[in-house]
Amino acid sequence: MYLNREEKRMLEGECGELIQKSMDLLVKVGEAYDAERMIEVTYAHLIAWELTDILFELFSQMTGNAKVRIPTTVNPLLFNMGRAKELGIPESSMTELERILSRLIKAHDKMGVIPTYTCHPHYIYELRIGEHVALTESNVVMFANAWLGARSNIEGAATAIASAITGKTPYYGLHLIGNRYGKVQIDIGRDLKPDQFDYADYGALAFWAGKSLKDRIPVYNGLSRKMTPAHAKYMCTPQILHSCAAMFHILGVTPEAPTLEATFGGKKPEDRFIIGKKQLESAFETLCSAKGREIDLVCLGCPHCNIQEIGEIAQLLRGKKVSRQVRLWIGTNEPTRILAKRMGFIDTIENAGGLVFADMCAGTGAALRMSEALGIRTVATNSATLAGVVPIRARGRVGVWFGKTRVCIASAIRGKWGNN
Amino acid sequence: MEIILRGHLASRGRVEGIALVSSKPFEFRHVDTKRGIIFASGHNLEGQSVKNKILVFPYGCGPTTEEWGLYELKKAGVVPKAIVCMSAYPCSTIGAIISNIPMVYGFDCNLLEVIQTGDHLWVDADKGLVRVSKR
Repeated sequence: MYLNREEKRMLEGECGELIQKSMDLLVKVGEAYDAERMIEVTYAHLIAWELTDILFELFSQMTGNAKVRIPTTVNPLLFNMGRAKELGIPESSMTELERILSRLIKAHDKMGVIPTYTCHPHYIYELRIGEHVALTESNVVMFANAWLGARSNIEGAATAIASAITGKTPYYGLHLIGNRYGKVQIDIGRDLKPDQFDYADYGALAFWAGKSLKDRIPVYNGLSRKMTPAHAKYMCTPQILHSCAAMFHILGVTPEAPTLEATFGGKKPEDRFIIGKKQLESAFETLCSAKGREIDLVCLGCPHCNIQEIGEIAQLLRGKKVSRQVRLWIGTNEPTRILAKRMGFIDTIENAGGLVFADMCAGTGAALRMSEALGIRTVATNSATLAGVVPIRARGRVGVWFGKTRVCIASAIRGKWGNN
Repeated sequence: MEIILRGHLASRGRVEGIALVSSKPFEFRHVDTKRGIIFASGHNLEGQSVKNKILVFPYGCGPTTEEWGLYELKKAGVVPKAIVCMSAYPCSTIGAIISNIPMVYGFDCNLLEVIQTGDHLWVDADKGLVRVSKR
């Protein structure tokens, strides 16, 4: 692998031990994928480290007193300690949680990370088409590739840190135009009405597609030209739950998919699948793992909501009350929460008995890790990510009802899962 | 009977051991980090331990915290000896590198047809080679 003078100095330890370790990791990854050289990256996104001491130790060994060299944002924390009481976190756990969260926040501040604590930093930090970046967190990476046309491989926690402190990444995979073309065509069946798709439909669609993709990039053909970035956001992680394809195209919608020919790089698709009503319904069924209709938590904002989504939820809740047995959690980032407050959405939602949290991962974070302490056994959501990840990781202790946003809200009001 | 398979280096090292073959894409977050037991219900290896095995699977998948799953197994001493797969999901590769576990990928055959659980494997990740001795 070719390294320029600066990269060699980094690798040989002339820029300090931490940069040396980071460059060593990046070179090893580059070797694994036959990268010819390194390239400069202009932005990185980190994952907020999990609560175990083992992982924090690894994080500390990599970061030490290093500073980020490029603008770097960070994923949500597992809890928002400022809202611990409303979340219902037991007093007995507070001291320990405070210890592990505050050490992480301090470490990020010291590194110079932009403390976004969101899984959708694209609302805050903008990218341009073709920009080379180093991102971890499947939603962040895939949205950047697919919707924004920026270029990032699906980085791990460690390589994202290495790129943040060196400003480099190996030039392989999705950084190369030749690796970004579609390989598999996913046609939307004529018996579906994509104009009326809810966020949940987009998630179920990508979850279903992921099962046939392996490492091949799909081209979704027949989705609404009016679909929004928020719709695309719900497709990202579900696609990777059974595949390792960190990119997708939507014909006529995403920047690298103007025509079928351009999207497939002039080649024929290797495979072609049709997703119709039957397939979409089967994806919804697979994603519903709950047994009883009683629900403990309705969790929205996985990935974090934008201002329109919060407005839609507020509209559905206006003048209503969430059932006393049910918690309603909505995740977003702090700037959006402030905006939603200003627009009266937060008051509407919180008067109805819901909670809007910033800075934390409500679904795969709190709902999963604290399910026992909070008595959460059944969760309802419009997020195929949450529905796909939580029941397996909770080893059957938590079941999920997966459905459209309005069904989730109606169920929160009734206290039971159902459509009416 | 012995077969030599040629793949590509993902993470350096040389090791020999017994194959454990996953017919499905593999997520390390579906392995108990203390005991090394696969807990994902419905997985063909549900209830089995990855400890000291040479884990063979078509490709890695799942959210990006994959690498942590592998690293925590390493710290608990219940890690597989090596990973052999067809497509190398970057998060699996990164996990193998930071945990010092040899990993090889690629190959021009369907690994799941060539290697069975219980086969004896010699992995030379630096050269991208896997020698298979059928049980």
